[in-house]
Amino acid sequence: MGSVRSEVNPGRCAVSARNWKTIAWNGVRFTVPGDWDPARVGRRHLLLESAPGPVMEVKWAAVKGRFSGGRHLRKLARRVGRNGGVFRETALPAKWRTSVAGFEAEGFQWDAGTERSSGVLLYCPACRIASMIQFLERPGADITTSNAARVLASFQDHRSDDRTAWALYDMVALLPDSFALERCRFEAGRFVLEFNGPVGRLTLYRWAPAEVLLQNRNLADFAQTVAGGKGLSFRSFTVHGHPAVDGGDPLPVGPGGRLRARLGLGRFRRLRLWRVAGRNRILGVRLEGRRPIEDPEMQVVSDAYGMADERPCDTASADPR
Amino acid sequence: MGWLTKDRATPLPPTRGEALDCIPVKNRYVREERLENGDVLVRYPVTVRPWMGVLARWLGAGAAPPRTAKLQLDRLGSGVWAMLDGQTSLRRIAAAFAETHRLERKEAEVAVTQFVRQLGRRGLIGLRRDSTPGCRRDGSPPGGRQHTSREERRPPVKRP
Repeated sequence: MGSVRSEVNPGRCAVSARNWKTIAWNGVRFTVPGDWDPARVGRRHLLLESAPGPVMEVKWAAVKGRFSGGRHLRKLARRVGRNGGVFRETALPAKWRTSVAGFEAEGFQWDAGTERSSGVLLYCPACRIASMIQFLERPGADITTSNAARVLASFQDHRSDDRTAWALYDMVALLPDSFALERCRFEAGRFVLEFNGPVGRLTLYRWAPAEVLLQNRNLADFAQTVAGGKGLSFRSFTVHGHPAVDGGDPLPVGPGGRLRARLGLGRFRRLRLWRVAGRNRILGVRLEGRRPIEDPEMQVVSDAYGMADERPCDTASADPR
Repeated sequence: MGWLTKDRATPLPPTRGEALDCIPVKNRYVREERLENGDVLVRYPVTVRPWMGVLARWLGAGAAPPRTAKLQLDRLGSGVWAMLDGQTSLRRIAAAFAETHRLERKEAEVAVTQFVRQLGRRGLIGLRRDSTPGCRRDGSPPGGRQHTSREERRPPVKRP
């Protein structure tokens, strides 16, 4: 008992609060202080919170037709009014104005008694995406104007390389645009992102702590029992230098089997798991489609996925705005 | 008829930060045992619901003797259980848990709070809210608000 308690490091949170981290999700990317964590994650919605409560909210969507910022702000004003708040459109603070250069931007504020917000509605004419970013202020919350300006300055809503970056918690992936997010789950110890793509369904897994999960079994057993690889035979190899297992459904045999596969009538799985021992994590990629999953297809997605500080893919490199 | 229209003073729910400052306290009726594999086995008395006891007595069965329930914690749960000393806040427990297993801070907080909530539902622990942080570090009595849950004082009640 004592040995466990002795590892308490009260200063850890304070240290992480000074660092900034990148969040990339379904097309948008920005940096935030280290102690701002996702509290709610949707396909096109992120709510971040720090210890005192929610601090920042981002919503974004593609705009069809002509963009009208005023119409969106009036909708927002009605919603705020229904909840008893007072809404007003404002000029952008000087610091924010330079941060959001390149966007069409309109500022707003609302006050609902215990909670206030300052935000901005952004529209990017290049990619036709509108984003609402608001910074929520509660008593005790550390939302300084400089923090908000820095977050806004880092905000990007498109890339030039036909890829979409994903970076949340310690997961990082840089996938082709053709993979659309279907579902995500962030449970303690188990993160799952599911995509629909050209080859079929792609699932990215991340489990922790690896040393506990692999206490009484090896990676192949884990893949079969926990990662949905039941019935697959696994072979050992390495991914990014980490011990890994890879398994898939057998290739179709016989003319009938080959014809079924060719017509897309079969169901083929391919699962690859690797253990990042230094970070105490297990990462996994699962591809599922109607045709056999070839090695190069599997290689592309597993190369594009990894841990945040391993940087198997550079989420920051592409065109900012 | 003022009682019909009178506003009820409903306290605001605690923020995440306030919740993490709570100190979990073990139920004094709980007995724990460390197994050979390092897991913790928790034994706790359970009683049937009072109205079921009344019903049983009315039917002539007499008062049901208290039973002992067992709960075996896995390695992670045993580690957290070992840190419940009645003085360490959830925030510090989560920080230690994150450091021990190299987890994300938020992830560790969620894991620890979920585990503590499960223990609370079984009546194995209560949460004490202390508004003066640090006052327990030197072992002095807590100041400020102090809420001790019923579970800390009474044996847990088994939900049938």
